Amino acid sequence: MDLQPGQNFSISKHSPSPVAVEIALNWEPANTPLTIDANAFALTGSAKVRDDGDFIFYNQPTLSGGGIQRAGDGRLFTVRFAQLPAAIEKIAVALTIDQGQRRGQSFGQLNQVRADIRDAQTQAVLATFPLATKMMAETALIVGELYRRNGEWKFRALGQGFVGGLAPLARQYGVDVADDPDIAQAAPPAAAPSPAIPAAVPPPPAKPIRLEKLTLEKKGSSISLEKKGQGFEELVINLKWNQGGSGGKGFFGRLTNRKIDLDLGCLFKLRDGRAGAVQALGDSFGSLQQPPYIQLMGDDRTGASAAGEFLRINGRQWEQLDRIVVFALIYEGAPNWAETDAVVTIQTPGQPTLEIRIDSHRNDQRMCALAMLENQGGNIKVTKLVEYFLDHRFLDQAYGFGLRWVAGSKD
Amino acid sequence: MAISLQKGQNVSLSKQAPGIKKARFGLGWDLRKTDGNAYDLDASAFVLDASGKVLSDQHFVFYNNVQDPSGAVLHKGDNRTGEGEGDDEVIEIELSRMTPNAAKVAFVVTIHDAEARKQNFGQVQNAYIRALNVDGEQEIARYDLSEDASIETAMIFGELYRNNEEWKFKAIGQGYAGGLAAVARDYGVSLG
Repeated sequence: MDLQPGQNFSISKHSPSPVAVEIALNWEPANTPLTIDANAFALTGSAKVRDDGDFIFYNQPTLSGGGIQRAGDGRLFTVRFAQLPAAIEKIAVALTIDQGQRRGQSFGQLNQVRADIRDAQTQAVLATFPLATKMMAETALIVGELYRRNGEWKFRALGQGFVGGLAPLARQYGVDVADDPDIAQAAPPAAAPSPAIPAAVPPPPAKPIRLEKLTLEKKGSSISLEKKGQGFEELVINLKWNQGGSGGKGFFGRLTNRKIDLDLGCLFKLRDGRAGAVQALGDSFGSLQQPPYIQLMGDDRTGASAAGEFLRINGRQWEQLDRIVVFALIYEGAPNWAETDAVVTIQTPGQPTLEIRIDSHRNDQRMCALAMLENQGGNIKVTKLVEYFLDHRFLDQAYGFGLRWVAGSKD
Repeated sequence: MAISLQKGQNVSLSKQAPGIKKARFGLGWDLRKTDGNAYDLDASAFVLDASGKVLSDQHFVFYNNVQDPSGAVLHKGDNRTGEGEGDDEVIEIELSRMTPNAAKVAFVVTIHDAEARKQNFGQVQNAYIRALNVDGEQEIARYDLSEDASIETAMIFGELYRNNEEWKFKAIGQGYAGGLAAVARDYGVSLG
C-alpha cells in the first residue's frame, strides 16, 4: 500500500497485529552531498515532549525503556508499542539536513524520500510512503507519525516541510534546545554592563539538550569523551564519502562515472602490548567480543552503500585498549582526496557526535590517518590527525605501533 | 455553558436558547504549523429539502454566492489562511426567515485546490463547529471533530434541521472524497 500525504492506516488491524514496527527511511539519490539526520519525537496528547529525553536523535538514540530505538545510521527506527510509556500518544519522525540553512541546501535537492513501515518481527511491509521532494525548499521534513487512536496504533503519512532545520523543529515539539548550530554566525553581542548589585543567583536551569555535532576543525585538536557510570557503550566510527557516479551538477559533476573506493581501517594497541590492524585487506575484520574488540562492518567495494563503512568498538572493553589510529585508504585509482569530500563521524550513546572532515588534501599519498583514540584514565581522547602517508608502513612508523608489514590484497 | 457534542449527537437550539432569532455557526481549524502551501479551507452551507437535495442552485451558499434567495442564510466571508482570533469562517442564519420548505442546512468544509496542493483533512488539526445565539453572543453548542480524517478533501461538519417547530443542530463529522464539487453534486447542485 502506497500512502499519500495526510493518509493514515491502522497498524493494529493488520493480522497478526504487530507488537513492534520499523520505520525505514530512504532517499534518492542515496549518494547526496546533503548530510541527512533522522529524528523521532515521542509526544504526549498535547503534541509536546515530556522532557528532552523524548527526543531521539544522533546524540540520544534510544527512548528510556526501549520503546524507540534509532539504528542504521538513523535510517531505521524501531518502535515497540508495549515498551512505550502510557503518556506517549504520538511519535513524529522527521528528517533534517545538517547545517542545511548555512549551506543553502534543501530537500529539493533530493528527488524522493521514502518511508517503509514494516512489522519488526515478520519484516512484512505494512505500507510505503513515497514523497516527491523536488519542490521543497525546507531543511526539515516531518515524514509521518505513529499515533494511538481508540486503543489502536496508526500511522499517518505527512511529508510536511519545516523551515529552519532541526533546532526550530525540536523547539516546536517542546525540546529545550541549547543553541542552533545551523544559523549564520551572528555579530557578537555588545558586552552587557555588569550590574552594580549582584542579582540573586538564579537556580541552575535544567541542562538544555545539545544538538551540535562537535566538529574537530583543526589538526591536532582533541576532545575527551568521559566515561560515565557503566562506561561506554558501543562506539561507531563511520566513514562517508562522495562515491561519484551520480553525475550531479557543479563540483561533483566531474565525478560522473568514476567511482572512488575508500577503505576504512585502524591500527590498534591493546593494554597488554598486542598490536595489529583491523581492515579489509587480508580479511582482518576483527571481533567485538574477542580482542581487539574492534570490528569492521563489511567492506562495500561496490560503493552501493551510501552509508559508507563502519568500524565498531566494544565500549565495554575500552579498558583493554590503549590506542587506535583510524585511517582511510584509497584502494584503487589515483589518489584524489579533495574529490572524496570524506567525513568521519564517531558516535557513542550519551556522547555528542564527533565529526572530522578530511581536509588539507595531499593527492600524492593514498593513505590518510584520520583520528587517534587514546585511553586516558578510562576516558577516550579523540584527536584529529588528517596526516597523509604513502602506505601502512609509514603510518605505522609515524605512530609507533611496531607492526611488520607484507603486501596484501583483498582479491 | 455550551454543550459539547459528540459525533452524531444533536441539541435543540430552540430549547437551549428560547426565542432564538438568529443563529451563528462558526467553523474553525488550526493554522498550518509546517511550511508549504497554506490550507485554504472554505465553509459552505447547503439549504436542503426533506429529501436532502438543494432547493435550487442558489441555495448552495458559498464564497461565490454568499446568500440564499431568501437572504436568511448569509455567508460572512472567506478567511483565506485561517489566521486571526476566533472562528475561521462564519455563517449566520435568521431562523424565522427560513423558507418553509427548507428542512435542513448542511455545513460543509472543503479544502480549496486540494488536489493540486496535495492537501486533505488528514493534515488539518483541531477542526470544530459551534452554534451561537447572535443575540447575546452566547455559545449554545460546540462539536470538536473527533474523526481521524485521512485523505478526505471535504467534511460535513454539522447540520441544522427542523424538528416540528424547533430547530436542532447535529454533529456530523463525515468525510468525503472529491472536494466541493463532489459534495455539491451529491446535494443536487448543477455545476457548470
